[in-house]
Amino acid sequence: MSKFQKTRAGINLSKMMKANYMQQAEDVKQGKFAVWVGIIVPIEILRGFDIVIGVPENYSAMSSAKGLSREQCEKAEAMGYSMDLCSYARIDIGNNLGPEPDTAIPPLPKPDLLISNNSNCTLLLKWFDVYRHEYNIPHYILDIPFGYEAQKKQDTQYICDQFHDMIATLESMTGQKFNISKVEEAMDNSYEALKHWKRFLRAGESKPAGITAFDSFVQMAPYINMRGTKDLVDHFKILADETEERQRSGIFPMPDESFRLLWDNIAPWHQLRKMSARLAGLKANIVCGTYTNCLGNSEGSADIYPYNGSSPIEFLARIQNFPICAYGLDLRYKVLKELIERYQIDGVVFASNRSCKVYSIMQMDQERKLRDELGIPCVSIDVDHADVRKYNDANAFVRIEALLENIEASRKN
Amino acid sequence: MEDFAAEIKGLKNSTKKVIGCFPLYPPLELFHSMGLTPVVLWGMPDPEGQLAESDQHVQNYACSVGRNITQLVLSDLSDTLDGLFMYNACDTLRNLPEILTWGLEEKGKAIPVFKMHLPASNPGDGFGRDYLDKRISMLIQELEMAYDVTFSEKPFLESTELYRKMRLLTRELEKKAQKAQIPFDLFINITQEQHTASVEDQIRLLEHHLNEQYSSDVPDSASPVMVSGITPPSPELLKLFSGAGLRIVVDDIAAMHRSNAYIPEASGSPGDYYSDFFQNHFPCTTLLHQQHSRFDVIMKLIEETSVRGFIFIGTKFCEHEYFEIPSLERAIKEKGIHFLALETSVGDTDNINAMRTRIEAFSELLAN
Ligand code: SF4
Ligand code: SF4
Repeated sequence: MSKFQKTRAGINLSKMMKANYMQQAEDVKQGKFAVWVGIIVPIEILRGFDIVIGVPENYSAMSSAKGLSREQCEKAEAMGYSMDLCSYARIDIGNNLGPEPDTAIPPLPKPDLLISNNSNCTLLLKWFDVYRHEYNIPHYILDIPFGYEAQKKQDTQYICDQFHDMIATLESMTGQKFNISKVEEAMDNSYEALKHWKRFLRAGESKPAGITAFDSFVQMAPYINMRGTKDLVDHFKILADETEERQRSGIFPMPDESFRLLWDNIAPWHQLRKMSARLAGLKANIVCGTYTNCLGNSEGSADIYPYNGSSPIEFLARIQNFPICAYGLDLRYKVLKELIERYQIDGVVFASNRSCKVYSIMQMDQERKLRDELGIPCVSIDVDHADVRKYNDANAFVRIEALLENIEASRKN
Repeated sequence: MEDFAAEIKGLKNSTKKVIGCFPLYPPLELFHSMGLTPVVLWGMPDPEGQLAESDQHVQNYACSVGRNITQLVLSDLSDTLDGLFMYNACDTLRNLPEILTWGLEEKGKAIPVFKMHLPASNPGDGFGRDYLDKRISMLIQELEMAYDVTFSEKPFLESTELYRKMRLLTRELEKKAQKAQIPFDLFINITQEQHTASVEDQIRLLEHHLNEQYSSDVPDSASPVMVSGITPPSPELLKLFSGAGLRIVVDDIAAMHRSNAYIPEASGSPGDYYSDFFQNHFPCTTLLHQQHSRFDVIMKLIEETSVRGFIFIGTKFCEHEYFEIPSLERAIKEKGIHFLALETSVGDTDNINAMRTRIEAFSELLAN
């Protein structure tokens, strides 16, 4: 992680994210229409309008990574939002509706419209609905059928119908004419960016790995709110090129890597530095995360879904189940198996995340099946991805160390 | 939970296949019309807290409703059910059909598991309606193949008539409970019993109670309150309410008023029937297309029934309910109505004493 602060990609990431935020704030000041969207909402389609796009989930992840989650969660809880609700939501609500907004990361510019999407979770709809009440603005819901199996034609059609309806809603609210060529351009950019992203992730396949999953956690941020832009393509190109160069020159984040692990769940944002340093001391490298691998895939696949450039709206509908939370046990097992083989994984860490039920409720069965069918050692640790108060470092590492011992023992056998 | 399972096992005595359904608003009429017996796996009390089987599959931070369904299906009912049906509602339930499928397979058992996506866009109109039609047709085909049965409009019309009758009778009984002509706790028990009874038996049960003469032991001076939540208050909680001088006169409980407040017209067309059913359903936190109308409906109920207090009975870990509570609390208080939030789990008796003081204090506030 810290290494990336000094890399070209690390420097570029901070610069680009900051510039994007400043531009958005300025645009809103100038009176541009602002929309808040869930992370899976296809922002490439929104690029067909001249509007400002804010992504609260990204904002919450950044707040947690900067150590602000405790304070912001407490603000939401003081307003009556239960501690059992997702910490992303509590952070965001705490900062937007709480007594004083944070100055370290100022809140997103206030929206004129909310667009949520139940692809990754249905909780997001309820979270956005809080703002519908509080700000008295419309809330548009994109409904994505859950993927127990590959997306059916009727599902793709249903999603496309909603996209067209969302476009019509935006046309009437903004008074702008939708520009499909801008969407085509945005889709080309996103696809190009994804190819570089996958090239970057593939660096984890080598032994020792050219990256850690922590690098991918940090670097995925612009994919969430800058999809469709040329800046994102350029950034991911820098990232992948530089990573490959470092590999060629024999620079590895953990040259003495002895254990190759897979992480299943959202990144523990408040622990990135601490956890990666502690793992390095144990010669354990998390080389792959299900969270960062799924970008741009179709459900149940470890690879990006091919785009032929002909129909961006239909393509975006087809990949609406890409987040790993948007599909069920059978498909998730298929991906886990594929990643375990591809990255030559020695053990799996299931982060059981109280805040994110949709990611976590199913891990117990998944763990049992992986152990029984692939004979791979697994461990479950309690983590909250954004609320630092719900994480206990000592407990987590007792279990991770037990996993490493288990891997050692299975090697000897 | 054993009683609940025993009731369902009792249904197996007939030649009809028994389908366990969750969450609360499945297409019961459709199953019935195709010669199947649907039961709603919901709110099963678990006084012993025995969730050993469920604990192998579902973390303890899932709500008690989801954990109890898992326990029931994988233990007491693993030999009983002929099928399971589930539609999307919340994140806890999302993976449950496959968790149950895998769990039953581990036991060497396989039953058909039907899943239906209920549009969170409007299921009564436009593309939401089209999509709902397609999903209902798919479900019909899957049922026909799984059980060698056939769908036809006439029996569907008859089933919708029966369910309409059952809901009308439930509403009638509810009105009596609101007027204290039948104890509210008895009314709650009856609605719970309905989950595991065939619709014909439900009608008999309701008619029986409607013909009985009951008197309520709650004095008229008791303060009228509205209760809200996913599951009804437990018997222990009900005792605390009446002991503290509170009288429930109306509910916004998912398994009660929310389930029966809207009664669709009978119809031979499943598409028409279910689009009407879901579009006009009493707003529920789990029906995502209805979020915008929930507060208005609750305020209307409050005004109509002149309650003085609103008690939210939160099911621990239920995000769908908890997100709206702070705004709802504010809106209710702005109307001059007192608000109390309690948190519980199905079968939870441990926290009763801790709640007693709060309920008594709340009652005093209303009395003053
Ligand atoms: S519940 Fe999970 S998927 Fe949903 S917003 Fe929270 S972290 Fe994201
Ligand atoms: S109580 Fe809430 S969390 Fe539990 S199953 Fe029902 S809607 Fe889902």
